[in-house]
Amino acid sequence: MKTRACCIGLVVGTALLPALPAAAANVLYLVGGKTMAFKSIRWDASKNEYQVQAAGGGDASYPVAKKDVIRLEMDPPAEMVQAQQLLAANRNNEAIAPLQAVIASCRNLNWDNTARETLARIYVKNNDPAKAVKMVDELLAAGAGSIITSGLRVEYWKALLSLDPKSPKALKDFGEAIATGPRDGVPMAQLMRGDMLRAAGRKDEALQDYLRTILFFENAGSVRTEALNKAIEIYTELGDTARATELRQKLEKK
Amino acid sequence: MGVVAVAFLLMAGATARAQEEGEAEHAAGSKESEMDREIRYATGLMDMGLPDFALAVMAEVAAKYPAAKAAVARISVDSFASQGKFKQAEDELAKIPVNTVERASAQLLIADRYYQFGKLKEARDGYEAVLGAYSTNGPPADLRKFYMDSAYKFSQMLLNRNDPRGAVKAMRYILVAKPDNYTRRLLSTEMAELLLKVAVSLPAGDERKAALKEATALCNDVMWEQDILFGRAVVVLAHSKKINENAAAARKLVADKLPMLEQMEQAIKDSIKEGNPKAPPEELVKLTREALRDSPMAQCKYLMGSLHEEDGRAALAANKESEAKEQLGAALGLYFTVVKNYPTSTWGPEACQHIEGIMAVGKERNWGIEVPDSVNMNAVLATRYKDASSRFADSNYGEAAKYFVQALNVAPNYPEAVSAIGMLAQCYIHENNDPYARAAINYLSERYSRDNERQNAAGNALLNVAQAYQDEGQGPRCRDIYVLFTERFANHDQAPAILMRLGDAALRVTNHVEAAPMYQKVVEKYNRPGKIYNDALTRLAICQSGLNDYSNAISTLKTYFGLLPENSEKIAALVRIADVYRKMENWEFAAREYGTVLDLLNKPNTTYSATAEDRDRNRKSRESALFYRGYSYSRMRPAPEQVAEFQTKAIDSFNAFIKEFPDSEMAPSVLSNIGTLLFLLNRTEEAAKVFDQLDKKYPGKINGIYYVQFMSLMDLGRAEKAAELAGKMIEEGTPKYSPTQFLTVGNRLLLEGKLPALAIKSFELARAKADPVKDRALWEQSSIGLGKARVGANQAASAAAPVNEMLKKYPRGPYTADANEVLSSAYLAQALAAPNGAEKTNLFKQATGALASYRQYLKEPGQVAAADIQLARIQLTMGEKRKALATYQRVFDLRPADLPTIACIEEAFANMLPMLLESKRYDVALEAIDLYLKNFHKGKSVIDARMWRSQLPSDLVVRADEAAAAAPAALSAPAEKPAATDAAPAAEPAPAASDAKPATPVAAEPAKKAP
Repeated sequence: MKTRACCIGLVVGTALLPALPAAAANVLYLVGGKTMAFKSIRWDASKNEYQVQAAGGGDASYPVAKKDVIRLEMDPPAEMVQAQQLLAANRNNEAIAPLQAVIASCRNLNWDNTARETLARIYVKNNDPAKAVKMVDELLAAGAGSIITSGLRVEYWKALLSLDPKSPKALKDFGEAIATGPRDGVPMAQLMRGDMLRAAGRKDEALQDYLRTILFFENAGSVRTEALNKAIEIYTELGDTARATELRQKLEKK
Repeated sequence: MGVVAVAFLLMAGATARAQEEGEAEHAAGSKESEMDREIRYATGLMDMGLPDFALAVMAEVAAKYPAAKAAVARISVDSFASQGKFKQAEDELAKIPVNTVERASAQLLIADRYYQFGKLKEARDGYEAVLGAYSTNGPPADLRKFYMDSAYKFSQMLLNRNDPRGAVKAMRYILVAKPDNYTRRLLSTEMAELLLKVAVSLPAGDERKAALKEATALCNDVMWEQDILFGRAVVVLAHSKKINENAAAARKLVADKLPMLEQMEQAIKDSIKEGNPKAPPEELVKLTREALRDSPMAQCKYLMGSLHEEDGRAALAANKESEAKEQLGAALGLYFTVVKNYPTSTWGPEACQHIEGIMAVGKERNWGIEVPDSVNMNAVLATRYKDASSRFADSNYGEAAKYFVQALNVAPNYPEAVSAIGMLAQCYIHENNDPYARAAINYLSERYSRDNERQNAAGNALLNVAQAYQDEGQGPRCRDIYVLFTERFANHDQAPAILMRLGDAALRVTNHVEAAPMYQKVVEKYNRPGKIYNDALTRLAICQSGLNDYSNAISTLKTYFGLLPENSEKIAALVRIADVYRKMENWEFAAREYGTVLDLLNKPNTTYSATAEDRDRNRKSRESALFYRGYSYSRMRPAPEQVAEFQTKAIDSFNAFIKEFPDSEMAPSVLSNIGTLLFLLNRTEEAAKVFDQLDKKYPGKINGIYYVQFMSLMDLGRAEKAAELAGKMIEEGTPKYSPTQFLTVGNRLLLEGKLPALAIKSFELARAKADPVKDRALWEQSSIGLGKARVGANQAASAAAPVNEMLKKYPRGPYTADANEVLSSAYLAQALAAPNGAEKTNLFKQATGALASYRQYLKEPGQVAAADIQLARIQLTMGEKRKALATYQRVFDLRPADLPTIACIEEAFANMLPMLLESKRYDVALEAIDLYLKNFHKGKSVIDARMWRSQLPSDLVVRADEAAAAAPAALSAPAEKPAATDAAPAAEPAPAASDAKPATPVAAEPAKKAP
């Protein structure tokens, strides 16, 4: 467990700063290959559309339906820039307020999700799992799961389990990560799900998760080592010394 | 590779010898005797897989030439063994004189066949007996070739069993037989390599040293000649030095021999060039790479790389970064060479793995190392899949698994990966490594079932896994995999067909509970018009009807009916609809539908009877419809003033039947019904004529008019009227009516639950006339019936006596279980009536004791469950609440495989839940309630279950709800799994068109039971 914690800490520590574009443009990329430069943009949730003031035009706003927008690029809002400066100065707690302001003012404008992701990391670092979970849940609800890195995902699971060791949400997300997530996130999801199942007395299913990690993720380093150790423990508990010995040899060979 | 090479050499040797023999024969003209020719001919027939013909030829040879006895026996041995008839083969073997070449070769033949049939222990014993007998001086010349071939097969068998030590020993037998020089050296090299493998697996010590010493000796023998085997031997020697922890010596040896090895390699390259002067450069490169596959240079470079890597990693551990970088860099260079120059060698993928390991170290430490573009690791890694697959194809599952695991770890995103996981699972299945097999299967289905690009391949892989289980005789596991497939790969082309197979397998053993949901899924999810959909509908209706779910059965059948063209199947579907109404005792609708069938078939030039086959089927449908329309009319209960009208309609329908189907097997029953209906209509004279006709037409079958009428009335649902006739029969007694008839009457009365006093008298008459020895079955059944009837008539005190008398005379027999059941009921009834005290307790004990005896004879799960329910009731009556609860829980945990079991589970649930709530075992209660609501959503206690759930602590309930919402399918609790059947999915069962047969008025013989 220690190894895993160290590894995760490293991920969080080095990636707290949100990536800001060096020189962003305010552009909407529309269905059909067209682009639209704008000087201001606002999300209208009631109509499911953007209100856009075109660059070079007057003050009139045009509605652009969400379904017509492939993606948008816009300059970071002032609060985001401020938050970045505070984070760079290691003043993480002071960055919380401007990030929350970004979430409030930039709904559906990408920066809200960047702010959520950054806040989730800060909350993890502050050992505030409930808030971290809330941020990640909001990201997932917004369909922005792809910006959640493997490291943050693991932190999310840990936060969920620290709030509820039998968290059904964690169990479900393990399954999601295994079924649809990137390969590098699978061994940890299997390991943590195995732990959960084992704690619930479902040894056989836990063993399956550990064995899967051992078989298919030889390069998963400490995660695989942990899976090996736990599989050995289960086999020993089950009195299957032959299989326990076989795995122990694998461990020693490693 | 080496193994294949040896096989090839042995084969080549055999061919050469065969040629020599052929030439000799040619030269000698008629030297080969007719006897030998005949034997050779028979042997050829055996080789062609025609053992019966071979035996026929040899029988003639044996008759003509007494000297051919041993050869005949040898072929006889193989003719049996090749078909897996080993007992007969061993008997034939015993006929061959001992210490003869024929005997030894026949024994080896049997061993080969044992191996083919997977009887490895017998194969091993056979090989060792013969091979060991000649291990000192070698086999006689006549046996030599066969001896070498068998020794080779034996070595391969042992290798497949992961016994390299044994394989080396088996290969030594080949050496004793003095093969040609190159084969001998090749074998020695292979043996040395195997010994190296043995040494690696051993801890440092004497045993390891001995293995390495043996390997070294073999290599030294090989190295007298300088060819490719020389190179392999050098590498083995170097490797053995490395294992002996003398890396410096290993490095020196390789360095010393390297120039020679390079020369050899150059020679290989030159020979390719010379051999293919017109080949274009790309083709030449390809050919050269292929030829270098066996070059010892690949292993040599790999070995040197691994030596550097070991030094580098040691330096890393000692924090000597620059030295580590240097050594690992050198290792990397050598590994690159292996990948680049020997991509098809077995060392290429190994080198790739090491490259990745070192690259990871470099990345961590920012060494800035890159894999050169010329080193195409992907192409090399892909060969790992090929290597694994070829081993898999050779049934070398242990080795294949190792290669698959390597490939899947080094190239997990390759297109081959998905099918490779399936093959890996199959390897583990064949190797009996169930935990790993399941791990691979679960990973395959969970990881790839939602991957649009790979789900089809994953589904195919899973189906192959199911087949592997089937091949290994693990029917239930095969079924589990098919179920998993239908759940996870619902969009796969094969999903509906697999659901049908699962349904058919369950239906074949009349397991409607399991079959129904399979067909239901096909109907709901794959409702495309076509054969599968139609088949699913018709079979679903069979299940629904079997589960007494009549309204849905009718709805399903009507859908099915609507899809069919106008042919005999459509008519049969209509008959089935009518049959379901009849089962529901909805006589009016049944009569109407049967009438529709008749109307459709009465139409002139009906399109329903276009072909001869249709006409044949429709005739059967018509026969059934005519009979059951009459039967349905006879069972209707109209207003009193209409009774005669409906009975007349019934008679008309039956008469039409008799007219049209006078020779039908149902005709006696129909005549009997007509007579009885006339009797009920007080048309006694006509009734008498009909019974007379019945008696004349079926002489000897009808004994006693009252009996015939009794049976008809019972069949027509007129039990009270029938009882009057039973009374008249009892008045007339025996011999007018036979003991068998009285037994049948008693049983019918018992079955209807009517008039136990009459039943008692019937059984008493039957029992009194039956000889306990000559008419054992009759006497035993009468004794049991009498006991049962007395319990029903509140005469429990006298109920046990006839049964105990029967058990005393026949403690074990076909009716022991039934007797104990009756005894249990008798004692329980007595206990309930007895005042509190020792006698009451004793009677309860006797009741539970008899129940336990009854239970031990039961095989059907529903019967066992019913016995347990009875036990729980007794326990409750005795005040043993905890025991009763445990018994109910045991029943509740059963799989709901059939209707009787389901009924018992329902009862167990309804009884145990209040007990659980009372004892505050809320978690167990919640689990049971949720399982019940899931499996019995139309169950009898659903409302109660919901009420009980609402009474549980709310936090417990909320948690369970959340978990249920989140739980992925892969984590479903074992109780949710459908019951497994041993039967493999099978061919389609023929749907029963009309399942009920009319009762016959002919006296039933006492049912014969299997002991």
